Amino acid sequence: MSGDIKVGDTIPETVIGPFDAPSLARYAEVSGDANPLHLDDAVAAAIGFPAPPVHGMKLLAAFEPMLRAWRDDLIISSLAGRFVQPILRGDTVRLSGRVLRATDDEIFVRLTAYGAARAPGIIGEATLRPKVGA
Amino acid sequence: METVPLAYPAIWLAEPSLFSVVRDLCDDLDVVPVHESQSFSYDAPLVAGESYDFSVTVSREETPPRLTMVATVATSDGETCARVETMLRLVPRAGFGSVS
Repeated sequence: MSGDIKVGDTIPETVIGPFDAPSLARYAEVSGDANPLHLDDAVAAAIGFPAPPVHGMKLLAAFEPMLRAWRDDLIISSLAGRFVQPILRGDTVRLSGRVLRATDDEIFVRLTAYGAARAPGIIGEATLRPKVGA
Repeated sequence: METVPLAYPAIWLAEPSLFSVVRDLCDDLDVVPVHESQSFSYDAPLVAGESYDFSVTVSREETPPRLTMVATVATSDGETCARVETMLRLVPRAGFGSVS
């Protein structure tokens, strides 16, 4: 049951990365997102980044195991994120979440991903619901 | 039942047959698509090994310049199980080097 979850509860922080160039190349290969911005230092430098940004989808997807590890009695019915600013290759990435709304039927969580910068790279949200029979 | 990761449908959006529509439009406009936001909303989880229908609508906004791709995932019986929305900001290619 989700009745023990309260507004303001935090989800244990998950740390991922840092991701290196071979890791981003593998992700590009399997995801089909071969945008050279993520793979080519010269392209990243041309628009002012000291290193290529990590694929936003690679980071957004990482919230799913974090949420599942938090509560395996809930299912995730939605996951969304805005890619606010790039998180760069070589950054350690901190994923966190906080409950903004909680009822017996639905939990709404604010998600954030931080790289080395002070501002978040991703601001996201997820909706979770109790598993049937849980 | 083995379910599919929530973000997996993004791979289908990157299929050349689908994404070529975006690439061609961006080439025509001389802009680069930058991933601005992404969402996945599920009525039912996707099951590994099952076949699904994946349909995509692309719309373009002028101000600010962006493309929105809205995809629905449905079972072979026509029951919708997921909705995927991708927002791409369109940035002038000037200053973006050879990004495409």
